[in-house]
Formats: sequence, structure tokens, C-alpha cells
Amino acid sequence: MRNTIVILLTALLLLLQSGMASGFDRSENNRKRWQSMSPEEKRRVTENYRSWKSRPPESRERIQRNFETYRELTPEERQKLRDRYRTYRKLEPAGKERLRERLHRVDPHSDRNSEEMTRQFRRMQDIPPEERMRRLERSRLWKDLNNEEREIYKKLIFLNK
Amino acid sequence: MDCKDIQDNLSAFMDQELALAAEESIRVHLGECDQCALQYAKLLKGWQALDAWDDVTPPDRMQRKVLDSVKPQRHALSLRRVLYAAAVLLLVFGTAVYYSGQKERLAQDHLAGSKSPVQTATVGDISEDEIIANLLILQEEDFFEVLDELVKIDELPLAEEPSSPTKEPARSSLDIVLT
Repeated sequence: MRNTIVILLTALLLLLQSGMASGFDRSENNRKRWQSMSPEEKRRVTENYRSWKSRPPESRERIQRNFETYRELTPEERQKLRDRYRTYRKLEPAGKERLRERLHRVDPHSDRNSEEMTRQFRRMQDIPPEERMRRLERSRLWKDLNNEEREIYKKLIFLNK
Repeated sequence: MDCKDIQDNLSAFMDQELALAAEESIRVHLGECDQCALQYAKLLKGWQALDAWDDVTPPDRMQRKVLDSVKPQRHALSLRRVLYAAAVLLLVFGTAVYYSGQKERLAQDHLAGSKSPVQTATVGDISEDEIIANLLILQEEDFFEVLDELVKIDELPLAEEPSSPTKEPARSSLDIVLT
């Protein structure tokens, strides 16, 4: 009987340590996804892996943190960010850089963890887009933008309101 | 057949389970060998004595007593078997999940650039396991790279908000808007 209890406890310990089946499922899903990918997709992902390896550690940490944030979001919130990304890509590199600078002014430290980022994102959704837009139009940033950028910014703010 | 074979087959001979040739051979041998004949006589006597006994039905009380003492042991035995089976299953499953998780963690550490011994041993190699462990990130690396900016875009209108460090240094522009 004592042996049985020891075996049971050992097995439970192993299960707890491994983070249970969630990690197992995620790994399995990834494996299935990888196996179903075309050679071209696999090649692209492998290239991404190489570029990932060449990134500085802080950049990799940032992406990991962003990924964790993404996993905490609801499907609707994820979709909103995906749509926003499609619009964001229309900005010229210089425009993206300017946006980055402005965002840095909002949050100079940029060290929010994924829970804080998620919480902040949800809090901001409580402010009506019209109100956010009104404030944006009064800002100095707005004066610096060209017409094309203004349209993009409007879309970024109003998307999926 | 020698004497040993004959004596080994005496019981089957008595029950008429042997082939005719073997039966005949034993019968001939018993007529010639005193030792085997004596052994056969003993066996026959034993069986006849058993036949003389009548079947005895035990009293109900005794039957109940015996069964009552056996039942708890049977339950304990089956419970132990179930526990053993559960333990073995858990151990096998736990080990499988543990090593799977370890593999994934190692791959993630490798991808994150940690300085583990495994990582240094495989630098330069690209294994599928490492890619699979972080497949979602690698598939949309560009998207995840700017995700924090996409999240913060809603805060953009606050960029030009005047701060009031003298009165309320602890409050951010976001707090001012939200309140």
C-alpha cells in the first residue's frame, strides 16, 4: 500500500510540474499545424526562425511578451488587433517610426507585462472612439500628420468600434 | 515403457484416458512387475477410500462465517489492484507529459537565446522541434513584433495631454482621461 501511495504521489508531482495537459495540447496542435503546412510555408517559417535567432534578446523578449498578451485576449479583441494591423501596414516606414515615437511618449518605459497590457487595452475600449478621435484632432500630433496619415489614424482609432 | 513411465501413467490408466496400445502395455507390465503392481494397488485403494466418503453439506452458520471472513479480503484485494493500476497509468502518463513539456521548454529556451548547455550544443542547427514549439510566433512574427503598439494606439490621443507634475505627480495622462 505504501508503494502505491509513493507511486501515486510521484506521478502527480510529474503532472503538476509539466503544467498538465495544456502544454501537451499546445505542442500537439503546433505539430499538426506544422505537418499540414506546404513546403513554401515551412520555408518561410524557417526563414523567420533564422531572423528570430539573429534578433537581440530584448527584441525576442518583447515579441514573447506580446504573444503572451495576445493569448490572453478574447477572439473579438484579437480580431480587432488583426484588422488594426492590416491598416497599420499601410503606413510608410517613416510614418511608422513617427507613430512609434508618439506611442513612446504615452508610455515611455514600455515595460508593461502582458496582464497590464491586456488590462490597459480593455480600459481604453471603455472610452468611445469619438471621444478619442476628438482628443486626437486637438493634439499637436494631428498637425504633424499629412492627409493620408490622418485617414489611416482615423481608421486605426475607429476600427470595429 | 520403464517403471517410471508406468507409474506416471497409472492415474490416467485408472481413468481409462490412455490409448489402447498404452493401456495394454501397462496391463502387461503390471502382471510382470511387483513394484509397479504394488504402486497400482495403493493408488486403487486410495481412490476406493475416497469413494466411500459421502459428501457433507456444511451447516449454514459455518458457510456464512467462512464467506464473511473472505469478503473483506476480496474487497481489499480489488481496491489494491485498482490503486496499482491507477498509479501505473498515472506514472506512465505523467512521465510522457513531463518529457513532452521538458522538450518544449528546452526548445523555447533555445529560441529565446538562453545560455543552457543544450542550447550551446545545438547552435547553428535548426530542428523541427524548436520551430514547432514556437510556431505561432514564427508564423506571424511581424504581427507580434508590433502588437504592443497596436494595443497602445487607443492611447495615442493622450500623447499631447499636458501633465501636471506639481500637483499630481503620480497620475498619468491616462488616469486623467479615465477619471
